[in-house]
Amino acid sequence: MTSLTDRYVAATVRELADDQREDVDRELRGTIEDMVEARLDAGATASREDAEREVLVELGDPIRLAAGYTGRPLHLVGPALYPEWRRLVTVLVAVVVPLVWVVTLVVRLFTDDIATSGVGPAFGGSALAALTTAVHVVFWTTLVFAVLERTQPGRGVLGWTPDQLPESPGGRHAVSRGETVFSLVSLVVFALAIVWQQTSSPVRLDGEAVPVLDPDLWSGWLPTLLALFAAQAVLVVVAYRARRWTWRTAAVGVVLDLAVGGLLLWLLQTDRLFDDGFLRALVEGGWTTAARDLRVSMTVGVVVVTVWDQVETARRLRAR
Amino acid sequence: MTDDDGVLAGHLQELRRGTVVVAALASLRTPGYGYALLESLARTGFEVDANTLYPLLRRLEKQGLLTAEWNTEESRPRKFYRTSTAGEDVLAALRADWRALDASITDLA
Repeated sequence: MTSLTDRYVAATVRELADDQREDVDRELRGTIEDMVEARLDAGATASREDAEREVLVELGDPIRLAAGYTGRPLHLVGPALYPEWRRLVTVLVAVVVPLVWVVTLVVRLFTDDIATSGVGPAFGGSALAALTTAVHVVFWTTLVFAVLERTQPGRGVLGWTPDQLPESPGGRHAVSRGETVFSLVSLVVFALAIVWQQTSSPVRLDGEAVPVLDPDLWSGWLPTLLALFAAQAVLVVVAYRARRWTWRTAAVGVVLDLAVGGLLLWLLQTDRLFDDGFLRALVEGGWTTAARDLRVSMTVGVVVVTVWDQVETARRLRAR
Repeated sequence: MTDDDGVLAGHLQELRRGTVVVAALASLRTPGYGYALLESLARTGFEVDANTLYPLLRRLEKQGLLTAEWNTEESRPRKFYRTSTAGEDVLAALRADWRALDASITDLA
């Protein structure tokens, strides 16, 4: 018996239960010899070594052959469990990962020394934490399902009922009147708030009303922001009249969202958004860390809202 | 039309999947060993992969449908399988089902 067959048989029986090994070993060796002899007799192969090699190739991967003997599955998660695995992984990743990301980001923004290191490490660190969480969630869920697949093959765990069906995407009315009105009202409220904080601010410093936002911004950035809001309002109306979001309207929406978010973040990070008088009024009022707290909470707010909008956009596109 | 060939091959494979068990149980009423069965099945039109047939014989033995014993009289020891009484019963049931299916399909046509 040559070493190639020895190695093949050993690799196969290693996967089997102890009481099967000797018997399968003996039969497999005999079978391989039978197949080699048949090839040599047929004259298809010149040397015994070549014939042996061809026979082993025909028998295939020893893991697959052994799985035939043991009845063990040749997959990690099979068809009986796959739908449940996929549903669970989707839900866990969609819920846990954003949660970890936001919580880590908020904690880091408050605990990091932003004045010296900036917000980069906080964003990078939280993104890394979210990624690690996603990897863990997928890995451990898959491990549990792989074990289930091997302990109770061919059966689901939770089963499926019609109650688990997702909501209907809504057919022709993919863009509802409600969400359109809500978007428009939000935009108008934001725009009015920007005007109102300038004309009749409730904040007083030495008896004088001080605006919340830096009045210098009126010479450029605040009108830009209002124009972007107006563009978003137009887009919402266009989408409502078309009854659905298309790739084009969604793409314009993403660009507008990123423009608004980017503008606000840039103004925040360069300390240009809030009026100095307004911040001084807050500090004198006893809120000594007002500048930092406002910057951090606004940054988080802008990032969360912008990301959430993109998630909504993706959902709308899928609902078409 | 290689695509159509692929579709047909896939359906034929599905259709023939369970017939290997019937063919093995029927052939092994005369005792036989693994490779000889593989050859005789191939001659009668059942193209079975070696790595499918050998584990299948073991499973049928474990289920009590085949009995097996080692024959050490020839040049090399071989494990001979033979259809058991339980195997005969299962074979009869499978054949009856096969004929019933054939009759149903004939009725449809």
